[in-house]
Amino acid sequence: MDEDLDEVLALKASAKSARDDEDWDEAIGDLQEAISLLQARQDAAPLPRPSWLSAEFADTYGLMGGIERRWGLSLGGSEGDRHLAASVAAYDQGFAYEKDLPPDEANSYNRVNRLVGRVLLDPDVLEGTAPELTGELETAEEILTRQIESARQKDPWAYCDLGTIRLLLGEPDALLTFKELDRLRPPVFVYDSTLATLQPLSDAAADVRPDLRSAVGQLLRSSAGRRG
Amino acid sequence: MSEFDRGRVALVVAGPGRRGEQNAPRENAPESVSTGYFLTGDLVLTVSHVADRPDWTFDVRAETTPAGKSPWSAAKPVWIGDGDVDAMLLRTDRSFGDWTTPSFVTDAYSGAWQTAGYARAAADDGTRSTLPLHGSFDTSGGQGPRELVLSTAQIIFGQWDDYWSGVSGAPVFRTGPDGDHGLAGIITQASRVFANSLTGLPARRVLEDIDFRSVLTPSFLGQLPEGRFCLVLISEGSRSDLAEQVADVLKGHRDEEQFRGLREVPISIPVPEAIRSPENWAATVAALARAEYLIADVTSFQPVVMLLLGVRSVLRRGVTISVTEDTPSALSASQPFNVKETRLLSFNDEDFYDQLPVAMSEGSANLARDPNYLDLPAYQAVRAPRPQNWGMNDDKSLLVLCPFNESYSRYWKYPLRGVIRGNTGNKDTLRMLDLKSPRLVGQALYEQVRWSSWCLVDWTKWRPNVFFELGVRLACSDRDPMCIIQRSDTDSSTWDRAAGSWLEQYGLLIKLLDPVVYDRETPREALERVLASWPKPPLPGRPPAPSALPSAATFKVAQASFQWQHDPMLTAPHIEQRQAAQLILGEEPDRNPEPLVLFAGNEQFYDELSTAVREKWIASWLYLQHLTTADDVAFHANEPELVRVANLVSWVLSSSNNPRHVRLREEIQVFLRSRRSRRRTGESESTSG
Repeated sequence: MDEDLDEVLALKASAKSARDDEDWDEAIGDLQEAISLLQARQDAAPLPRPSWLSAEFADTYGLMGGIERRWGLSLGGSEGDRHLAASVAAYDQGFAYEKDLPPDEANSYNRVNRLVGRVLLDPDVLEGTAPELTGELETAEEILTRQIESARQKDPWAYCDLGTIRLLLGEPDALLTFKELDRLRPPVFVYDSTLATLQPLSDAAADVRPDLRSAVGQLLRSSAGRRG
Repeated sequence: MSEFDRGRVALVVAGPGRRGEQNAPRENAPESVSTGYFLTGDLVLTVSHVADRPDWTFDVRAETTPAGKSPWSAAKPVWIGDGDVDAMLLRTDRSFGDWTTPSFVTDAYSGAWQTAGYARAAADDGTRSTLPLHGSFDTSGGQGPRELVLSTAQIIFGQWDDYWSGVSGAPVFRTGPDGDHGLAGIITQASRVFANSLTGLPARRVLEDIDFRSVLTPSFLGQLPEGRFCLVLISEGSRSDLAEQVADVLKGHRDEEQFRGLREVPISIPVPEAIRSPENWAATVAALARAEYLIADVTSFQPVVMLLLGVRSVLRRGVTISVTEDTPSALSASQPFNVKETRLLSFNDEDFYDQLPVAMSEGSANLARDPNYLDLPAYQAVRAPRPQNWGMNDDKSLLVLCPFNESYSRYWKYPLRGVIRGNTGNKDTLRMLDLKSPRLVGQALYEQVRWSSWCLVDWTKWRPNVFFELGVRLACSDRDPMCIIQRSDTDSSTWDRAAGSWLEQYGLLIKLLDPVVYDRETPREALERVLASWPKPPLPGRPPAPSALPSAATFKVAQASFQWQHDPMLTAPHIEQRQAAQLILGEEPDRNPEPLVLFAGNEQFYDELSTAVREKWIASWLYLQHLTTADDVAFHANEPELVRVANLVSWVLSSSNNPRHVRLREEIQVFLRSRRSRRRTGESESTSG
C-alpha cells in the first residue's frame, strides 16, 4: 500500500462524486486513470501478485461497470445498449480479478453484475436460449451459498447477490433470501443500491421472472422500515 | 593495566565553522583549545566545555603522525556527558593508529599520576607543545559527586587561569608502585585557590554512562540493519537449530507480501551473550526495540529469556512469538503467570515450518489493524496514567517482586518482611498479591512496576515471573530496583540440584546487575546496611559495582532506542479520526457494510455508531481543510486523502436533512467539482500544449 494506491482510492472517490452528479464522462475518465495506475503497479510488482492489487482491480472495474450501466439506462435506445455492453465488458474484466480472491476478501459483485448486464441487454436469455448463462448462474449460486456459510455469513451484499441470482434462476426461495437480508439489519444504502439493480431488471424481465416485481416491492418496504 | 602513552595525546581545537586551508586558525572568530587522549585510533576523550556553543566544530591534531599524513583531522562529537560530567568523545574522520582502549582505574581513590597537556604555559610562539605533568591525587569526599583532586609538582605563578588554559581534557594516568595503572580520569579545571592544584573527573563517572561504553565498544551484534529484521533469542544450552529454522522460514516465504523487505537472515542472540557485559546488554536492548519480529526460545523459561521478554514487552508492541522445545501442552502447568496467555509454538513439532510463518503473518496483520494488539503483557499497563494518589503514597510504600512458593512465602512473613520494613522507614511492602487496585492483577502490577519509586526484587530461586517483571522495571523506570538474592542461589556449589542444572547465566546476571547477596539464616547482616542507605529519588538507586551495568542504563538505552515513530500518540488528527471511524464501520463501509462492532445489531446503538462515524469524518475533513488553507505544501488541494475524505463525508451526509449537514455537503460538492474541473483544465492544457 503506497502513494499510488492513495491516488487510486482518491480517483475512485472522485469517480463516485462525478457519478452522483451524472458527469459520466468524468467518472469513467477517473476510473481509467485509476486502472492505468494499478496496471503500472502490477507491471512492477513481483509475482505472485498481492491480493490487495487484485481486489483493487476488481473493485475499480466493478465501479466502471456500474457507472456504464447507469449511463446506459439513463439513455435508452442503441446508445444506451452500447453503454450496457461496455458495462458488461468492465464487469467481465473485474471478474477476472475477483474470482481468485482469497476467502477473507471474497466478493461477488462482478460475478453477479456481468450476468445481470447480459439479461438487461437481452432478457430472452432467461428463457433457456443461453445455457452457458444458466450454468454460470448456477455456479454463482453455489459459490455464494458456500461463501454465506463461511466468510460472508454477515455480509449484506452476499445476500443481495444471492437473492438476485436466485431471482434470475427463477427459484422460489429468492424472496426468502431477501428476508434473510432483513435479519442482518443492513444500512439503507444496501437496499437502495439493490433496488437500483432490481428495478431495471424487473422492468426488462418481469414477464419471464415475475418474482422480480415482488422482490422490488419487498425491498421497498424493508427500506422504508429501516428509514423509520 | 595500561601505561600512559604520550603519542596518544591530542590537541583539540573548537570553533564556529570550519578552519581554513591547511588547517589555518579561524580568523576573526574565537577558538577554544583543550587536550584529548586517543582511547582508540579514532576516538578522542576530552572535556565538553571546550565547545562554547553546540554548533561549533572540532579539529584534532595527533602528537605522532605516520609520514606523509596530515597531523590534523576533523572530528565530530559522538558522546557528550550528561549534566556535570564535563567530558566528550570525538570521533576523528580518519584513524591515527591501531590503539586498543586503555584500562580504566575505577576503584583507586589516591595515588601518583602523570599526564601531558596543551597548557598555555607550554606555548611556544603560538604553536602549542605538551606540558608534562605529574604529582599525586586524592578523591574529594562529602556531598556531591566525587572529583579527583590533583596536585602537581609543577607550579605556575601569576595568572593561573590563563596559563593552565588548554590542559583541560588531559588524561590522568595512575602510576607508581602501588596498585593498578591506567586511566583514572581527565583534568577538567584548575584550582582557584592553589597554583599547583587541578581538578579531575574520575573515569568511573564516564563509565557510569552506558552510552559512553557503547560508543567505545563495538556492538557484539555488529551494525543493526536499517530496515526490518527478525531477532531470535536462543536459550542457554540449546542444541537446537532454531536460528537456522527461522532463516529457512524467512527464505521460503520471502516472496509473500508480509515478508517482503524483511532481512532473510535473522539476528540471533544466544542469551548468555546478551548479558556478558554491560555493552552487550545495551546492544541487546536496542535490538529488542528495533526488531519487527522476535522469536524467543522459552524452553525452561530461563531467567535471561524472561528478562529480555520483559524488556521487549515495554519497548515494542511488535510481533513476539514464544517457542519451546517441549510440547506446549506439557508446559501449561509450569508456564509463568505473566506469559500464560501467550501462544507457544514447539519448534520440535513437525509442522513448525508451517506454523511459524502463519503466526508471524497473523501477528503482523493484527498489529496493523488493531491498536490494542498485544502478544506480551505490560505494554499498555506501563503507559497507564500515574495513579491518583501517587504523590501521597509513593514514599510510604515499597513494591516487592518476589517468588510465591510456599517456602518463600513463609520466609517472607518472617523474617524478611520485617527486615525490609524495619530498615526502610516502615514502608508498606506491596507484593503482587497485596495490591489493592480493582484493576486486573497483571495490569495493576505493571502500573506499579512503572510508577513505584521504591522497588525491591528478590531473585531467590531464579523464578521466571520475577525476571520478566524485573525486565519490565528496568526498561520503564529510570530508578533501578534494588535486587537481592539468597547466597545459596548464587553459587554452583551450593545450588539445589533438584531445581535443575546450574546455568552460566546465573553468574553473568549477578555480575551484570550486582544484587545484594544475603544469608537466609542471617538476612540482617547484608540487608540492614544497604536498605538503610538506599538513596532517595531523584537519585537512580543503589550505586552498582563499577563492573556492573550502570544505574538506569537499561532505561536510557530503551528511551533512545524506542521506535517512537510508531507511537499512536503521534497520529495526525485526521488519521486518528479516520482510524476511529474505520474501527466502527470498516475501511470502505459502502463496499463492506458488515457491522463488526459487538452488539451493533442493537438498532439504537448502530444509529449512534453511524452518527459517531459521521462526526469523525466531518472532523477529519475540517482538519484537512485547515491544513490546505495554511501554507503547508505537503497538503495541496490535490492531496488524495482530502478527496477520499471529501467523498466519504459527502456520502455519510447524504442521508441527513440537518441544515448544518446539507450546507457542509454542498461545500464539499463544490470542492469536488472544482477539483475535477481543475484536473480537466490541466489535462486539456497538457494535451494541447
